[in-house]
Amino acid sequence: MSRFPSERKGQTMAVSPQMLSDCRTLSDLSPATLEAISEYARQAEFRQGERLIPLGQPPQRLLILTEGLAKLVGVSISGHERILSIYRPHDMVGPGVLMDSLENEHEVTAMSRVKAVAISRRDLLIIGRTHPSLIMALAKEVSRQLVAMTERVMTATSAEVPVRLSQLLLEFADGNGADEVFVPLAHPLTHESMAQIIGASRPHTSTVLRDLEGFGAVQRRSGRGLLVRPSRLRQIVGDGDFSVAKEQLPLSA
Amino acid sequence: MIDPELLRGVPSLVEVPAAGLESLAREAREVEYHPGDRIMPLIKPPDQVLFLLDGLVKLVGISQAGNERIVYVFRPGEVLGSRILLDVSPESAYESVAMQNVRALAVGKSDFLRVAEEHPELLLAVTREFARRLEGLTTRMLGAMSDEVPIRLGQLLMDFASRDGHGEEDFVPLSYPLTHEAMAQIIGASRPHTSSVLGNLELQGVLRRRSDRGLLVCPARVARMIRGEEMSPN
Repeated sequence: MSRFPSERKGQTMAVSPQMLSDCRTLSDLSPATLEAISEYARQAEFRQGERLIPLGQPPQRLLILTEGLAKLVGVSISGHERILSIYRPHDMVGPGVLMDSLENEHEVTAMSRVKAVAISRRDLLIIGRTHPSLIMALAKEVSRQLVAMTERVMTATSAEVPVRLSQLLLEFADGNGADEVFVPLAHPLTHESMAQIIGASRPHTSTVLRDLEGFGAVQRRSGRGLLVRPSRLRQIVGDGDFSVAKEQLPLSA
Repeated sequence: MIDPELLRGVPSLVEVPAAGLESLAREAREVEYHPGDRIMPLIKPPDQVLFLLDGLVKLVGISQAGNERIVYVFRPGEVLGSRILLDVSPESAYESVAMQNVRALAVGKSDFLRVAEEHPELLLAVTREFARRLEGLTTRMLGAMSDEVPIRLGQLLMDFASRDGHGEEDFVPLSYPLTHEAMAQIIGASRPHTSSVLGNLELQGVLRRRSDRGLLVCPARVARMIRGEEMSPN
């Protein structure tokens, strides 16, 4: 059985060096290294709900997302599904592939149609021997993910739901807009997804979104997703307490 | 320059060929810290990688409510300083602080990067260690988001239980001692509540408290408690 869904469909989609250089993780690599990777890498595609990395199986390949969203999911002791991280285009999925043995306790599932560049563990190690800059690029990406996960653990263990939700919305706010204006999320999230990410119930998450709207941090548009105002969200996160942030808001605001 | 044998004792480096360890040993120096010493201070990006030989180090941040929270505890064999790999290191809201007397091998950022370029196996070994820590943090994230204090505490005790040479049903010490305060900061609960939960777990026969000699825990009973199975007193 083929390892890649794309190959199952009879497509052996090669990856060009140009496509690799568009991936943030690999963008600093030399043309020679990109050329070497392109000889081994393949494109992989996943349908919504399909598993990129199944539970209980050590990852066999590294994936770098080029399109779509994928979620890192764990199931709590009480049986609730929790989204521990969301991978976006350019993100690397499956750094555990570098480890000799890993009891994979979480799985990665496509939230939409996902396209990715796939490199098998064996090929990674072969390329890394002659092109160590590839290993350095992966090391940097693991370090970046460590920083992000450390901050998430910090927030999860210390902040109340409005602060956790504000931090999530800030993370997903389209960064191209000015701080004071309303901007869309760079990738849409359902209330259910938001709830699973921040570790709250879906109804409570919707209630808090309404409160954030009253505070001028969010605008809900039926059927067209959220708009968020980064400056207000930052104020809530900075104060660490939604009630304090509300007290500090001028009446004219 | 340190004795390369010291590096051979670091578990994550066992597969690194001798030439790589010798190059690293030429750039490394032995360092010591006392409890409370800031090893990698707040905000400032790290300028060295540390291979921990003895003692515990906490990665600690201050919550928005002003409480100290331990995000991670580094144990001997682990590697600190992953952020040196980032071209632009964001200001960090947490720092690494010695919890006990700590002994480590330190390698400056530029020296480490140069040796790593010459010996990719070394970089691969360190990256594996960081990936292992990422996996541990991800599991901790799940616990922090989902479970009640007794379960979070149980998971912490399982993580620190010393299993060597003991059966699952035996009561075993923690491989590294943790104060009630440290446990509370790791699981995100208050110190009094943590002590109270420890008392309840003792009544359930999950652990035994020994004054001044730390805890004994029964991993099998802790596992049953985490799974929500009925507990019978011991």
